[in-house]
Amino acid sequence: MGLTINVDIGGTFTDVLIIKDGQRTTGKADTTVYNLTVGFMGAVEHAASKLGLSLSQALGQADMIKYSTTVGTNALIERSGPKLGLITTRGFEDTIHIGKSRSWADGMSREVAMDRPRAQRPPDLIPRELRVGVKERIDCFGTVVMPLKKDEVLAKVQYLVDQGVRGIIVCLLWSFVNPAHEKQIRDIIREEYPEVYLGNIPVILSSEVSPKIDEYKRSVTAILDAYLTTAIEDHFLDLTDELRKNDFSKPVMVVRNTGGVASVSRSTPLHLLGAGPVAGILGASFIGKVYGEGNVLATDMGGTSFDFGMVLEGKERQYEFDPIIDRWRIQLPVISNISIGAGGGSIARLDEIGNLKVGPESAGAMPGPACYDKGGNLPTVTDADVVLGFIDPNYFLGGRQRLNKERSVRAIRRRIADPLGLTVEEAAFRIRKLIDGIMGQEVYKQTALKGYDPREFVLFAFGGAGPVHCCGYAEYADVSKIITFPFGSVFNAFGASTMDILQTYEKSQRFLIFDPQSQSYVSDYSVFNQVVQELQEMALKDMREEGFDLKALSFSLELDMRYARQIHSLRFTSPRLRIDSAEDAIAVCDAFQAVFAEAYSKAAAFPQGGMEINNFKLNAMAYLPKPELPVFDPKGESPASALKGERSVFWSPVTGFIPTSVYDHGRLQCGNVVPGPALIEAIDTVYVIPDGKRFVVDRYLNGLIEDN
Amino acid sequence: MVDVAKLLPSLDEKLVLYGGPAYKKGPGKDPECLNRPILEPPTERELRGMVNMDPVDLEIFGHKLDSITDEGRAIIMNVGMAEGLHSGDVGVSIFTSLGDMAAMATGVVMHAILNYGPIKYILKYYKDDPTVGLKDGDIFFFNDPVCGGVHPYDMFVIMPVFYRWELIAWVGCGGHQGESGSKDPGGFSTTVRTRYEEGLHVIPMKIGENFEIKTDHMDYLAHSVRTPRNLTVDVKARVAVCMRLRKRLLREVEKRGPDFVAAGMRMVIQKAAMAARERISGFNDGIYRAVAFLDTVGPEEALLRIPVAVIKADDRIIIDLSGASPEPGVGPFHLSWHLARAASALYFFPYVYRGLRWSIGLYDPVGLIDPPSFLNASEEVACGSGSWVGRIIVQALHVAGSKMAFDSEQREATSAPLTNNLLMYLLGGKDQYGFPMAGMPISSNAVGQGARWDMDGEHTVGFFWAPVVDCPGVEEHEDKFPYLYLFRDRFDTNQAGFGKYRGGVGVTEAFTTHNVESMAMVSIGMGDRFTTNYGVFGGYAAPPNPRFVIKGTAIREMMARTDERLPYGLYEVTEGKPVGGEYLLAPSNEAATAYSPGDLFVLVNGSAGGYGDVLERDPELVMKDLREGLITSAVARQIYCVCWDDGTGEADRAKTEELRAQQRDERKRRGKPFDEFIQAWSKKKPKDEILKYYGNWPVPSDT
Repeated sequence: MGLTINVDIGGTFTDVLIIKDGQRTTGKADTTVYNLTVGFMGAVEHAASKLGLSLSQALGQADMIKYSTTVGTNALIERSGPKLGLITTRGFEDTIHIGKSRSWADGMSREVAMDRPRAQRPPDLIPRELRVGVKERIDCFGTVVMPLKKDEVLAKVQYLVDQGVRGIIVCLLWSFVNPAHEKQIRDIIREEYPEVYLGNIPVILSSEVSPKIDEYKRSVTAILDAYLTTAIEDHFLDLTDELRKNDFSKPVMVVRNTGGVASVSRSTPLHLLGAGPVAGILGASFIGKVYGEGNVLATDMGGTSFDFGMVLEGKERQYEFDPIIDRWRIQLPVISNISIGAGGGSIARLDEIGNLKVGPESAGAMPGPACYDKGGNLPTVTDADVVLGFIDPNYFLGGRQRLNKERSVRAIRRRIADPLGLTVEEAAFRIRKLIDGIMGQEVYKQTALKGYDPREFVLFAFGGAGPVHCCGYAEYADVSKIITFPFGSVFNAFGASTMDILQTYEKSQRFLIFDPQSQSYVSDYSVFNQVVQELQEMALKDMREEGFDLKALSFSLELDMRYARQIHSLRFTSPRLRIDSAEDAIAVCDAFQAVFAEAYSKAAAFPQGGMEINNFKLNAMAYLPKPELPVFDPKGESPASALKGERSVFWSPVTGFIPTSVYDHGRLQCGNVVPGPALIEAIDTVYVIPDGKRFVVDRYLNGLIEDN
Repeated sequence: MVDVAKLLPSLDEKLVLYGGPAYKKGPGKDPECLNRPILEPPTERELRGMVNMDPVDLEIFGHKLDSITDEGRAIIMNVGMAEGLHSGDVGVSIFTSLGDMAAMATGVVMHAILNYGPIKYILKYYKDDPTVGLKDGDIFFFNDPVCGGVHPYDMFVIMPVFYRWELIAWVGCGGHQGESGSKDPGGFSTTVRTRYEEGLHVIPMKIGENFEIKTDHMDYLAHSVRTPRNLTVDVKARVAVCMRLRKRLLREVEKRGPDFVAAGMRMVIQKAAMAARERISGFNDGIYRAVAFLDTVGPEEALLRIPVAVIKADDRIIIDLSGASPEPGVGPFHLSWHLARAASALYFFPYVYRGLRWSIGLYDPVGLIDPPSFLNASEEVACGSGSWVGRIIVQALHVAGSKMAFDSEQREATSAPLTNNLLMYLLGGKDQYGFPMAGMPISSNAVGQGARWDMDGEHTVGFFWAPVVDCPGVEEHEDKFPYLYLFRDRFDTNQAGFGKYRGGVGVTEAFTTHNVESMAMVSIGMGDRFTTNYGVFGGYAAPPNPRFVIKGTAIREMMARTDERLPYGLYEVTEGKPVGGEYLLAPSNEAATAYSPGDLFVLVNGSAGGYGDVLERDPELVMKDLREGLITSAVARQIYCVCWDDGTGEADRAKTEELRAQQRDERKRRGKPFDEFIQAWSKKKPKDEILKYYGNWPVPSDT
């Protein structure tokens, strides 16, 4: 492949990575929230210019664009979706408000979730007056207990139309088992309200968007899908127009939070939410394979949040147990990306008995840390880094933004140091140490929850603040090996470049595979095979329509399985696509039991109670060419040619300020070894190498941080 | 004005007399293990570790303990089979070597100051007993409330944590199991008279050694209940969690050293105690009172008195329950001292101690005076519903605490209490898949929140006891139990307490037996006639909710023909009795009864009280409630005194003000001088039959 363009839109910057004949070139532009296309084109133009190409030339030569966008997230934050109506089973009209009851706290921090006295739900995506119920009932076996009546449906639809809704979502109880009533409602609407009358009002069935158990999550998934469609369609119309004007005629593949790319037309709006960090995890997985590292912790520390994901035994498909988009739980196999309120902007404060606390509140970009000089006067992690000497106030973002150290000193002195009777540096040291501890232990916990020992992992650090803090949080995460990247600030765009085409298909279906009453594996596998075949046919149809070579497709099956009558299931990759014998059934159960034992220990296993599958997920994948990581020859260990000076850094209250060598990251060469204590400055970050550690520039020009 | 500080010496004397369980020491129980000082003297190892403890290291260690217990909670919720476990009605804790809780993830708030008793008992009596002993890998089980648990339906596993042959900590995991082999399936039994009818009563018993559960012990436990498979899975799950907690804690010991870990746990408790005292100092000294009533003893309707006085002086709070009704001796509604104290945490932790890290240290400045009564009962009585009595203490405490908090920096602690009139249906028999079934649907996890001083209460905010517990969905319940809902997730009308700010609404549901020939049901509850969903500062209380079953309805036939008259709410079910059959509106508590297809169960999970005067509610908010079906037009007009334009549905502010002015004049007209009111009020007395278990009227302890 000659030239590919990978674009990742972030909150502050739009990042681009162009790969041309194996060479990587990066570009950046400010994210233009008012119209993301502007920032998109600006960033591509920036990268193209470094290659001596105009925007049109670069786009004209491009074979493919891979794009992760925040357009859906923005539309959700602004609540700018269309007016929608919901038709549901009568007697259950408040399902989307009630949710899981305590779900008022979904999407909020642990602190907010525990603060029930001040509980507040977000406004409903569809208000009470636009939710209507129709008399009907289907039971858990899919049997129609109460038939649907056409007259009532018509009356309710007319009511919604009179209210001016621009889309109708239908979510009925047990529709994922038997969608007959949902389909009947759509047929009635189509029959009685031809397009001429209703115009463009879409009718969306929950059983088609997400055929899975749980009426609340299924409703919300379908509603969000409809809610975001307009904004996303508008954006892609605008973007593709611009691209076409600039000579681009190939497909735009969007990055999806499920861990692959796909054409826009095969993606639902929900697929796009939070896709950027997922691209980062895929990129980490790709690089992990290059290094022969199967277990990777991909960490991204920015201004307001600390995000991380895991690659376990070479597999990046660790899913969120109960994915939450904004304030709602949804049904989508989203790759797990954990985010906590810890970053450069995290605010330090004292509680009422003088305990130091850092985060999760953030000063954000505006007003930002005190040193930004934009009116903020609360001490933050960045202020601590400035006071301690890790960040040069004159070389922040390569000197593009001057920081006011005096304001950092004043904020920390007034609010932390003086009340605790400490020096400003001691207080700053404590702020830094505490935030590192919180981040590291969160990484440890989440890794442990998957049943893994963090000591068996390598940690990738990226994001503006990642290299500044990674040695600190890696210690608390119990990880000793760290890798950093010269393209760390566009890591998500790099991740996009590594992604394959992936379509996923799911269906909830209960299948008892080991019967507790007879204590034997069942002998009739037809339900299992029928579901898989159904999903495969859907995949083949989609891929055929996209024009892919069906022979090049690869399928994998993931199952949600549990010991019978447990509520929660575990997802794992099935060793079989079909079950044709007792051996196949045993293989599936053994795979489940191994995953269960890893996550919860063998002590909790109880196969005698039965084992059942309750959800099937089929992945259809078409492989795309991968970028190559250029290899360089070693130029010797000495980093002397990159030394740019020395400054005083407060490493700890024991050492106090000590003169510390400062290196220019751009001048380091393959094989150079920088012993700690040292600082390595790049335009977009500072690599903080404490005493006892060393920074080694490896054959890919990545930086390995390890014990000296 | 009373100088409250001067009362402290006499209160301390009462604490000596009544600051512990009423029952005496006996096999498996020792009151001394339950009411030891919150701040135990540090051990030598703890003292060593404290010497160079860095405050930031301590803060990070506190976070580490939270991370470990969070991980444990996630496991038990994922692996547990009992509804209580997978919905988060659990407590996962780490204790010091002396058994003091340093970190806890829940679930249920009161677990924060429970479950230490069995550890202290083991240390006092079993550790050095050669027939029991204590060593690495031991697994203990308990569920008996008298040794420090909740009720027989909450089951726990605890394990010691040794480092190089020295005990350095304890870990524990447990939660609501439900089925205990009691008289009725699913746990709660309403007609019991003694604890011996409530199934398993296990004092701390070693059920495993060398990290393995002993098969004979497990079989004994499983054999004692109706759902042996569930119990086996769930006990194993508890053990798995304890093992995980132990592993994580030992890793921390390896990294930081045993002195650091031991001292860190102790200091987390000490810091919490300091923070609690600081917080309490910010309230005005005074005595704040509220009186609540329980309207059942289980098998009978009855009135029992629950007075709560919150005495705040300097940096201490003493809760005085003197003046409660005596022990009725029948039914399961008996409470013990340690559970009364634990229950009070439900108000203290999220409200008084809002934002502070939870640990038992927060109770250092809190004392509980609880003279012998049904709030501090003897050990022989049935106590399965003791926690329900504890709930009413919480309600009264919430009202009294709201008065204390209003004029303080903690005004957020001022609100009407959460919904409490809980009514639960426990089901037994076979499920629709042919498996044995004994359990409890938990729509009660979707109850309303009390109105707050500055805003309405949230609807369906969670479960009474627990801030972070899910309510299962309709499909999840219908998959688990053999029934079919007619309605559930739809807010009903006139359920929440009215006020300047209204209470939040809980779910009201109706379901019928489905896909099985019959289903046994036990019901348990309170607040049938005398609500405990109080309003505050003039807000209305939310209504009581009795048990409501309609036998032999035509519901199945009506559903089969999509009958126009199918009801979708309390008003529709009752007005004109559209579903036919026999309408049974009765007290909550009923023993196991078999029900058939066509019987319809109506269950009101309860809404919460209001805050402030109804005449101060913004007319626009009243109209919004009306549009959303939360109130009827009669309530809008007659209670809130709002006028509106029938055509546009807009409130008419001028006419509303006029009507409200008239209403205020009418109130003045009805008013009486205080002494005159008291004279008339004091002459009122309920009927004697309802005071059968009350004690002396009006104050039971007065003779």
